[in-house]
Amino acid sequence: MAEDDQDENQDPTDEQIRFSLTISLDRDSYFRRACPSCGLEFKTESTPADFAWALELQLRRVSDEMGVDPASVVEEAPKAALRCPYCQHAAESSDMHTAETVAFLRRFAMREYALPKLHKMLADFAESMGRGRSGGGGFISVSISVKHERSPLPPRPIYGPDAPDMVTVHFLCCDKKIKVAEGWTDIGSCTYCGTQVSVV
Amino acid sequence: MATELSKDEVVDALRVFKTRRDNLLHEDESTFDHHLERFVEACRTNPLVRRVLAPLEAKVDVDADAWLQAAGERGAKLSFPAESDQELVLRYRVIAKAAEDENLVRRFGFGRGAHKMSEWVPLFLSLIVRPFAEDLSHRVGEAANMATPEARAVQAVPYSRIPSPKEVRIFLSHKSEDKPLVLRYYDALKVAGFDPWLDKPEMPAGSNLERAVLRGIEESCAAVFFVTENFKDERYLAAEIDYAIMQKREKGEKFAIITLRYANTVPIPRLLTPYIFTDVANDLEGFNELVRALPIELGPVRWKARVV
Repeated sequence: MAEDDQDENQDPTDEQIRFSLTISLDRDSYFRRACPSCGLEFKTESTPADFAWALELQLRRVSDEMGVDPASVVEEAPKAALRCPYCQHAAESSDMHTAETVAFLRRFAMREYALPKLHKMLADFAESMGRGRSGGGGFISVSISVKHERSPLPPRPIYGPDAPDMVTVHFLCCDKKIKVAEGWTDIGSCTYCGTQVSVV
Repeated sequence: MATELSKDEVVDALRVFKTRRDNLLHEDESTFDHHLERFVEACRTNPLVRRVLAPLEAKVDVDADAWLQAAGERGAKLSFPAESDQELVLRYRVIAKAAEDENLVRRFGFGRGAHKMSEWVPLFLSLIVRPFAEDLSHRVGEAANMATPEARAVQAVPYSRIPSPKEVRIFLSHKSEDKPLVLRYYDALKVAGFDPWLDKPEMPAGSNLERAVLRGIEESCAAVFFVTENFKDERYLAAEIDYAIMQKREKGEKFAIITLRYANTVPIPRLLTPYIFTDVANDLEGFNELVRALPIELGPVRWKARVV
């Protein structure tokens, strides 16, 4: 096998950058989520839009922290709302991610967007300073040589694997499924459409 | 033979593995040595990781020292075995050696032109650790799947689809001469989990037949008429047809009038012809038609209490 590629970044100067990230699902193709209100975990079937919106949030955060231009995700799909099967708290699906997923997306945003952008800014700065400036009358002319040494990017984050735990709940109202903790039957309403339900 | 792991143990083992892996890959390089030791410790003790690595270590023979010596030569191209098991074990042995020899990562970096810790640690992580962690993660995930039974399933039924126990009975209308035939249906429906209504078992001595029949039909989601040579549209049978039609008008789709005709020479009563009727050759066929025509269905499959 050849050496692992160190850097698969796209050119960060492009107006649009296409990111490709792999999110592992459990054996039954469910994706682990966490309720932002009660903190308990459940699983749903997932859509790419969920990750696009959550990634956008992390792109903005790391851009702010690193002082680089923020990025916004070009995503046509609307944000979907989910209802927590434990506490009934309703939130956008992009807000119902586990700490593990958020950490993964943050590392991804940092490595694939913010750090390359920062490296480019510093390289541009070094180049402009290295060219020096000549002053006119009344000004002191100073010439500074600056060299930007690009440090290696951190390793690309790995997502998963996820354990095939929990019990499947089939919502007959909208024919969709989720997974909840073993023994939890007090699901008052459908996670997707909010219809009042009883678990049998 | 590997010991069985409970579902909780699988979840916990995966969580620990992922934490150690991500700490090694992403924490600050000043803590690299510590996280490297912790990761290697997890590879040696984590029950899920052992399920992956132990058989490979016993099977695969690779010389990590020779590989490191070749890789340490300045400008040498890194070359890994083509066979994935061999590559995984080679990477694991290199990582384990790095945990024991604090200068190994530095030497590896120097050989590849990295002269500062801020360069050789990311280099070692990217070239050696991450590919190992990615492959191992995939295999550990498979091991977790193998160790965990299939997920159980329950249904979340909308309230609008949950009937009251007082509206799901199945009223069996018949001539008394057909009692043996109808009793077979009664028993079969009971065994299948339905709640059939039949005059004899449902009526204590001295009950008013008309009122009992009316209440029986009111508590039902279907009225089943058995048309045989004995059937005559008169007296109680005629009253039951009238009551059933009343219920149908009141409950709509939630009430079915089902006619099973055993003798196709006997005419279906005219009042029943707008509703479901079918000619049946035997009880099994009749039972099948009856269940298909009901407006209710039974719940998900489960083990009987006596076997668990």
